[in-house]
Amino acid sequence: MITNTDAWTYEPLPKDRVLSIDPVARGYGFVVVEAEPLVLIDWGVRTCARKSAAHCELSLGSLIGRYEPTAIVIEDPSESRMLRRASLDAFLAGVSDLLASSGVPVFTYSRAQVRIAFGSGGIWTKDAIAAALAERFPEIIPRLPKPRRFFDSEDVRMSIFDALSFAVTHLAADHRERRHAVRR
Amino acid sequence: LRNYLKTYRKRSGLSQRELTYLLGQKHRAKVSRYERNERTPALRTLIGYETIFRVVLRDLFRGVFVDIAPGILDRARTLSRVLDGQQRTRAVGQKVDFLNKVIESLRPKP
Repeated sequence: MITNTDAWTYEPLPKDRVLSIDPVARGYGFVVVEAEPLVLIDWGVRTCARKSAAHCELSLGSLIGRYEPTAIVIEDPSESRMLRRASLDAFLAGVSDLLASSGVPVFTYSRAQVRIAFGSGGIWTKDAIAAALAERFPEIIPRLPKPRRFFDSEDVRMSIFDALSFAVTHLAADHRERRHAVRR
Repeated sequence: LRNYLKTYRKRSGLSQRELTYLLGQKHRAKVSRYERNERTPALRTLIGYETIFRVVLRDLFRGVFVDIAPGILDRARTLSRVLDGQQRTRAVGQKVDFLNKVIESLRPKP
């Protein structure tokens, strides 16, 4: 018996579902986020780069097939530093056919744009952005690495927070600010 | 997205193996198939999910709910119109009131 009809009110399915990926040496970190309300759907790190180039494409293809994102977000290689640019370019070259065939628009953002998006709250560093995101999405607190010391290499789990920061930047961006990646 | 089973499981921090145990299932593969929408859980399992995550089924299977809600809304409106055309007894009035509540609640938010 229905006792509380208010509970039946529903919202239509979200129009925006963003798959954000952050390539790292071993593979890539990813998040799937839905907008309005902002909900984190899935997140994780996929280790694929050491297996084969095709493995990353296969793994990303399964994510696209499963979540049917309306946008894919990735760091802008042209705005990155030299080594980072090389690794982003290599990753994108490996998955370019998949991205082209999926038909999902790909958007790119630079680190500077992420800092601007979070900067209004006085949050500038990667660690501070990650901590702010963990506060907003408590479900990923267990994945939050300890702040990095200068002699440490970056924890691979940070790629989840990087991917999430790009997704949030994309959703916060005005449509005019959104920049389509050039398909290779 | 048809279901959000994986989202709620990951939010809980439970592994598929642990959830399989909680649901009283034997094989983890089943939970994986439910999450990938390759298999529909049995009624007992569905109620198990609802109980464990404390989330109503229409939120766990939001895609399915949003699929069927417009149909229910249409049929509720049709039935309400048909009943409105009938002689207004107490029983008919009760049905119409109930259907109006269903219609109101199934109207998607703009």
